[in-house]
Amino acid sequence: MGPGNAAAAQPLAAAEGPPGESEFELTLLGPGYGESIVLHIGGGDWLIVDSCVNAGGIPRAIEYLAGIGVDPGGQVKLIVATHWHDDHVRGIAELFTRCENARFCCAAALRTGEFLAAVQALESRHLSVAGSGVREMFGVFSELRKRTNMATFAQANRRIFSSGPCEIWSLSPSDAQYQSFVESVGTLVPVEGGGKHRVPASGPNSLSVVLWIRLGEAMVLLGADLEKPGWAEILKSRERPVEKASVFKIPHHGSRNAHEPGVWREMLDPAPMAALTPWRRGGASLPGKEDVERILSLTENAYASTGRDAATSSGRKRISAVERTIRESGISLRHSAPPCGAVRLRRNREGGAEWRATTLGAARHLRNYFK
Amino acid sequence: MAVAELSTIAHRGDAGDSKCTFDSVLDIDDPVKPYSKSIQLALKSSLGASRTAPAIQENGHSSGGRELGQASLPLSAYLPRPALQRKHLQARPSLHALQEWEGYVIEIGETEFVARLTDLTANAKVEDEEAVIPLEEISDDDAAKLRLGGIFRWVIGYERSGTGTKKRVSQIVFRDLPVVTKSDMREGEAWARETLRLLNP
Repeated sequence: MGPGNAAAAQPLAAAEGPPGESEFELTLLGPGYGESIVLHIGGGDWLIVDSCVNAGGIPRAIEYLAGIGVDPGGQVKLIVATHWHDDHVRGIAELFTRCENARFCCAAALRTGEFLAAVQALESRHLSVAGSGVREMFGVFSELRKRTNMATFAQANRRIFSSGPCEIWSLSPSDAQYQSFVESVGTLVPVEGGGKHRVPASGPNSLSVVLWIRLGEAMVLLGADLEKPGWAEILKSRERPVEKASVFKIPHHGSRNAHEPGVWREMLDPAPMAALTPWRRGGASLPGKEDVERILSLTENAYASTGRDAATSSGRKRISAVERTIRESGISLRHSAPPCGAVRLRRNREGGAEWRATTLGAARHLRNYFK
Repeated sequence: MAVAELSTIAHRGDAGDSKCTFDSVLDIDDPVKPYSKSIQLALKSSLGASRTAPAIQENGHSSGGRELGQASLPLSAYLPRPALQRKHLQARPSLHALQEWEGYVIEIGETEFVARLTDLTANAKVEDEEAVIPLEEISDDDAAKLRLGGIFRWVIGYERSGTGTKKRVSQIVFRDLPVVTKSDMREGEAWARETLRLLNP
């Protein structure tokens, strides 16, 4: 473990050591500044899906793995960016750099010349102290230029990884979603003479990479941020897996726009283990009360990585003249991220074993989300 | 540094610099030591409107209410003076930043906008605060620059006038971001071609 990784260790994960060699683990970390999933596939090998960072800018996945005594530099074999929105890729360039033995996977559509040219033109010189999804992708592709043959590109029904009892398939984006992205990438491309800007993290999540993970007899479905039309395409596909998953990372923070009843009916076990990360921007937040009720009506085994944050202040102490000026200016200031938590699921490799859920930090059962 | 004394401000056009649009603001006592970029940025804002908190006299007492919309000192007040006048510099206007953030816009409403902020004073590593800012807090010039992804500085500090009056001010200034040049475009395309070649050996 490098000194940087050791320094990243934090109490969130320190309650227990790593899973056994023959034990699977899936831990959902967030919200921090987004979400990240770490997955033990047995034999001490790990995968990471998406990235978020702690207050010090360190990837949560590194922090968590270091905290349970795992060496990210040697033991992480694959990193997947499900899509390039800020809340899913923050810190992923550093993550990939630190995980020296890992391959990197993202949607094949991000390999287009137009997207790469836009990324370089916008982020080769930093515009802002704050990071962005585009900057992260620039960092990842810069690293990939040094590590030849370490990239894998995802599209519907493609096997992107296989090792021992673990096989990973991407179920999206479909050809139609790929084409739609290629057509819309022009909105990112800088125009000569136009001002550079920080590309907003908005727009549809149609390019999200949904993952189907086979861990021996256990199946896991990671929903990324895919919304309804994308799920409809997956359900229509004749090539998708026919088994049912016992674990579901609920897509798009539990939003109604990402809820497709057919997924619960056709792709998941009854009452699967389900986990989500909340999201908030401005006055909007997910999941809402209806979302929580809907999910709990489908499974009692639902968890959130933190509770709904009702914070109205930033929580940072400042000198009174500054506090007074903020009040007088009519500006309201608050923390943009609630405390981080983790939902950890572990099970033995043997057939018939059950997943055991543990909540760490601010994580909780979904029924307590508003408490 | 209790209060910034300013002697030189040189305007710089497209900076490739991500943090300021002024090249140098020099300390009279130590002319080679530039002032913090916060001050430089706050100075730039004096070109537009500023939002001024209650004026504070030297003794710390307030001299009046909040002066929303009041124009700040014109930039010329901070411009270099002939060497002969330097002995009077103690009385020149200055700005002392107490707190500064960099922000970017994530939502725009009819009367306010929402931004994510990085606390530069606390040396924060990530943008962990979110602000809802009334549109009236920004000048007309800056309102024209308001867009999703727009980047700004927010400085709270004390502005001291030439007569010694100290005012607490809150200034939000949107950055003029660099323009994309033909060379940027060529570099981007070349980088993309080379990246694709390396990804598909």
